[in-house]
Amino acid sequence: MDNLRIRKYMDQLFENAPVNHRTLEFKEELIANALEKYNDMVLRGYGEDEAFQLVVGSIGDVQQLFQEMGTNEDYSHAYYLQWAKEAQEKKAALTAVSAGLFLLAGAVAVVSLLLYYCNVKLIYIGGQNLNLLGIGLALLICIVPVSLLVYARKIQPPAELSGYAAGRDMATSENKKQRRKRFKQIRSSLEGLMWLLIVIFYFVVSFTTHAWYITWIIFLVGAAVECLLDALTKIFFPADKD
Amino acid sequence: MSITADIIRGHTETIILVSLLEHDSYGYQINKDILRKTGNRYELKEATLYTAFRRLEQAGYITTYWGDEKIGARRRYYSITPAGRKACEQGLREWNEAKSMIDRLLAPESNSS
Repeated sequence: MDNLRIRKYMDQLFENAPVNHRTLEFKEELIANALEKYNDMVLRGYGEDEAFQLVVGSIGDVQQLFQEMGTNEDYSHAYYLQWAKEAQEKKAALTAVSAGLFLLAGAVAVVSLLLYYCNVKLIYIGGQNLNLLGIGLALLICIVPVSLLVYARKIQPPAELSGYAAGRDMATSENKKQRRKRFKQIRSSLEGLMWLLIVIFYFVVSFTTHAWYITWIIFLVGAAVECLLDALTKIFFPADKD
Repeated sequence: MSITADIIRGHTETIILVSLLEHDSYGYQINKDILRKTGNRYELKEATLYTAFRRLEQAGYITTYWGDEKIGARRRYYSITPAGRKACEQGLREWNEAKSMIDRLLAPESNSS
């Protein structure tokens, strides 16, 4: 109850203060000291009004301080941090959904390939085994997560923050470059592994099914996956413009 | 009394450094120490404390961190650096010098020959 009175007083006190992280921290420090002092005095038997007056009286001249504490421009820092937090949560959600859809697409592709090679007559129209349509379906499903990821990438800070955000990005671009380099290394080794697995898969499938006339499609799928990886790299680690 | 207040004000930063020698502390606790030591006769205004903290921080004599109080406002703790300890010793030395100098200057010259 009386904590509220002190907080209200501080709000009034800081009404004319510049809004930046220095004044916000000063206010928090001041409130912590004032509340503790107030509670101590009440515990020692001071009346609530008397304690309040003593606490307020021990603050001193802060208006002079406010003049030395800069302008509002730092305001964008707190605002930016809040925006960045929200944007990050949004991006995390989009990425999670995308990952799920990619997995679904992969599952659909694997199931349809299995059905095809095991010759299960699930979709069997006009004497044609159409289970391979599942591959097309998988590729169609992939469109959604790719769009989501592109959208997540395009989330920009609000106009009034763009200048501030650009300045920040500049500071982190060095960091980004390093991450990009590391990602590229990981990607190339993963790609090598992927092609090795594809070749093994090709021979295993071909020898077991003897469907040599069609199994070469596996290499096309591999190439498609590589193109997709390439596109994702370009989206997430755009080349530096310098 | 105003001379006393002036002298104390002139040593605000050393007073704060001394109160940080034993353990980290925060604004209200430092003020409580001062009140206790002066028999409730003197305390620093919040604005004075804040100015002194920022000056000491800039000089590299103290560092600051936020407490993790779960309820109410967070406390802002201060801790003294090695450079701060040196500055504190220097401040104490200067004060002792000034004190003995003033003692001598204000002593009646009874035993001069």
